[in-house]
Amino acid sequence: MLASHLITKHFGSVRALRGVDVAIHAGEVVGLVGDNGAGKSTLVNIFAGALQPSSGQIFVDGQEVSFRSALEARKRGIETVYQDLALAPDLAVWANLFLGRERKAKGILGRLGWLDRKTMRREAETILERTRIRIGSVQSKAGQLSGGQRQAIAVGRAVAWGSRILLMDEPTAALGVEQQERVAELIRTVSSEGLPILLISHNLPQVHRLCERILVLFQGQLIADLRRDECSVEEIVSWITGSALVRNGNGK
Amino acid sequence: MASDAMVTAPQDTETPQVTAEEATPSVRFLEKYGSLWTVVVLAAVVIVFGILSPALFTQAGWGAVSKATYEYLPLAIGETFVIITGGIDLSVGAILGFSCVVAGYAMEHLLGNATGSIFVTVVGFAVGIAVGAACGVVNGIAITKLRLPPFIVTLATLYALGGATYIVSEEPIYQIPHQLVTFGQQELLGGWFIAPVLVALACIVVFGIFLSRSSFGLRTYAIGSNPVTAERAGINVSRHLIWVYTLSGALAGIAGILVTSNFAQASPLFGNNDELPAIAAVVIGGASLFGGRGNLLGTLCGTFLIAVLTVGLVLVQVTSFWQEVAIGGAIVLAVTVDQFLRKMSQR
Amino acid sequence: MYKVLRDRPMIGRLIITVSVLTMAVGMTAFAVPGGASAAARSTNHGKSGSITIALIPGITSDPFYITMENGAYAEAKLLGVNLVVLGSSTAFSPETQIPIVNAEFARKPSALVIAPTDAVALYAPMQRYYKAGIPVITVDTTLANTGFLTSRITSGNTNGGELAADTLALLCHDKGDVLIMSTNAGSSTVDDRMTGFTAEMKKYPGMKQLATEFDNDSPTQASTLTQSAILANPTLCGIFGLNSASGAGVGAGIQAAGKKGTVFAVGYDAEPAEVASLKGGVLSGLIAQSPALEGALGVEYAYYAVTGQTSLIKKSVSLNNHSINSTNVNQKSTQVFFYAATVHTDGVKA
Repeated sequence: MLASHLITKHFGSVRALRGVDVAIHAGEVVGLVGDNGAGKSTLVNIFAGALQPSSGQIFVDGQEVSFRSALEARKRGIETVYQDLALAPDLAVWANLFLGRERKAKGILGRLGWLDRKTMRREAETILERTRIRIGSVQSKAGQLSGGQRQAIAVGRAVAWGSRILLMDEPTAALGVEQQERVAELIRTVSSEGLPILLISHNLPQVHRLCERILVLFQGQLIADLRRDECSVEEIVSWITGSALVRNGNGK
Repeated sequence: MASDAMVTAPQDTETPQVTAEEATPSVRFLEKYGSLWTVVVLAAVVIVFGILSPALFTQAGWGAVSKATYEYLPLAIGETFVIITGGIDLSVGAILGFSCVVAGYAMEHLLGNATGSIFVTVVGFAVGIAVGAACGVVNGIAITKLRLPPFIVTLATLYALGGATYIVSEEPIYQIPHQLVTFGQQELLGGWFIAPVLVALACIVVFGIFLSRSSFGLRTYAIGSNPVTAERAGINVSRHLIWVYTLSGALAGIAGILVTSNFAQASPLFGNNDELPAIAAVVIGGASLFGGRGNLLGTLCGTFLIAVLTVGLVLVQVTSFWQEVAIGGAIVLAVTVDQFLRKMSQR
Repeated sequence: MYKVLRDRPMIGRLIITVSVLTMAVGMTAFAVPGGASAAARSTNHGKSGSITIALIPGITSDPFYITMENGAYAEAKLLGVNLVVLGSSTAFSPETQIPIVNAEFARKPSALVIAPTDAVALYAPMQRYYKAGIPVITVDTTLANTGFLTSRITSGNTNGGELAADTLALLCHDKGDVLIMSTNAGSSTVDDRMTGFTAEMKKYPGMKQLATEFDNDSPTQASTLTQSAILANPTLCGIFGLNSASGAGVGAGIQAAGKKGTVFAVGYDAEPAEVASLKGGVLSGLIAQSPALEGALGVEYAYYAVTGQTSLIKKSVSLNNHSINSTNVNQKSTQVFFYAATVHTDGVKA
């Protein structure tokens, strides 16, 4: 559903991405791994519309697209769960879920911007139910929730609005073991509904558990496209560090 | 204290649940009604001063207090929006003075030899608000396009407008329509209100609803709470901020014309240092200078708290020097208590 | 207390907050210098059921008004009435004065003596007193519309201008050029002083009055203009700075031009700083108003109004000013006209 062809990105003289081709299909959970500075976040940000590629093309459902902003990517059904979650801590859960796409009241009042809070609260509960997250009240402020719950809301938000693909940047980086499990469950649940997921993570065991395919970036290039069943965590590590390159040459 | 983290193990692996630490009912109550404590404090201060001097509970007492609020309420409303976005507007007092003098200049020249004209009165209102809004737009653009900190930009505006006000008129302008003066001074509703007080209270109600019930209000909080999030949510943060500062300027313009009507003149002295009680009222009312928090009920209480202190100290005959010290002290105290409460309710 | 705080935090916090703020307010009202009566700068000389007069000066930190307060306190003590003085210490403006006028109205004093900071804005707040049957007297400044006032008392500005002219003539031995250094045009005070000076100057045929300079109430500006004037007019003998800022600037300008002793400056008001300038020779003369007498007379007329002796009240009083110069500055009879720097609530100078 989402593909890219020869994506490059320069930041001044720094070549963050050097001709990356990827393809992600319906129902897949694809992991994107690599060492720090390999270009993972850059690639995801380009897909999310937050960055523009220096050259190359992006395809959604076979159609070439270009995003000038995150808003445009979202309109195409690409939702992102950012590393920092992008939640407003002082806003309620339902407000975070609907920010930027608020439900307005009917008629003139609505046109003036009057919010339909009741509907949003109700729909928020539905969204959270769908992703099997339990939060006492959708009126709680996001800042009062635990890391796991906040993660759940960020994922819930993306799932609620995302229709094509979910991009997740380090979704469990700041969480404890128990909470990481919760998020893993969430990812499985979402995937079972058919939405493809591209997952960046440093947590290789988790990547190995969750992702059928694993893409490895090394110094801005895609150097491996591994099937989970065909490799071990140690092998993934060797690709990340580049030692596998030395051994195997530049192969896919 | 909110009940502490207790992670519950999932009952079955097929329906995982995330039920860990969450806001307990008492914390949510505090969040929702947190600004209620400002109401309680205001009531306490009123009662204390009322006991010390029952004159506070007379019509004249209410008159003195209410007349001490109408100038600051519109300023505090605008400042609330600005502070919720995480910014600050130091220029509201200067905008008040500048806009009222420009409006006065316009009215004086339009009146010619006449003493009154409804048309000129309306023009006066329009000019005052428009000039205030224009100053706000300049603030907004400088902050968003030039990417300068609000403190610096509005400080510069404060100084620039301070000088510009005297260029327009060095002396108070007395030649304004008598209808405007009647509007400003006529006792209404059995002597309990004057029109400027009613206008200021109406503003609080209207903008209070606007802030809490509209998408503009919600996005204002979002920008203050996490501007990156707001940006990612597709909100045009720059444009929104320009609107917020424009609103602050327009409200300063409203305050200016209200003062002009009640004082029967447009004077370059008006608005001097007004930004301080305006900001104080907002902070006392529970807003955080970091943004994301605050509401107009709190601001209303903060404004009235300062007014009651001002009047109350006169009633108990504390000299003016100590009046000003006491008010400053009460502000510091109120803010400290608010921060303390806030810390205790946080996880 | 701890238990309440731990188990029922909301209520505990509310109680703490309310207690703390109540203490703060209570402390300010009672603990501040020595107690309510001293802090209030009010006196309680009277018998029970006695008269309370409220005095609201233009700004309480100005020596002119401090002197006025002292005069008022002295008179209040003599008459056995209470005097309450309230005012802003930070600004001479209707914005700071009107809330005080409104607040005091709630206490319904027997009479109001006030120096209104604006001739128009204070009309409505002051008229409210009159409508409630409380007599209103203005001191120093007054309203544009004086109909309801029991009396208006001021130190004559025209008279002050005339006295300045006479003083300069004396210093210049009736010969030479003079000019006025004025603050921005427009207030009646300024206009009257200029008119008085100009009219009186005509009595000295040997002296010529040059064009008036305007210094926008800035001593620095006044100093610059003074030095230019001295350069442009070699026969310049004297300059009348018609308010304290102008006078200070003129004195400084004459010193800077090195013309101390040949060009004379006459300033207005006898604040401690200006008296020091006079004694130091920077200024050659001061026109002192009579703020103490204004304050005393205001209290006296208020007393008459409250006790029904209205025949003793003059509707409009213009007190004479006093010329202080190097010849009489050290005389006891002149020193009584210096303005005070501190308030004496018992009306007796320490």
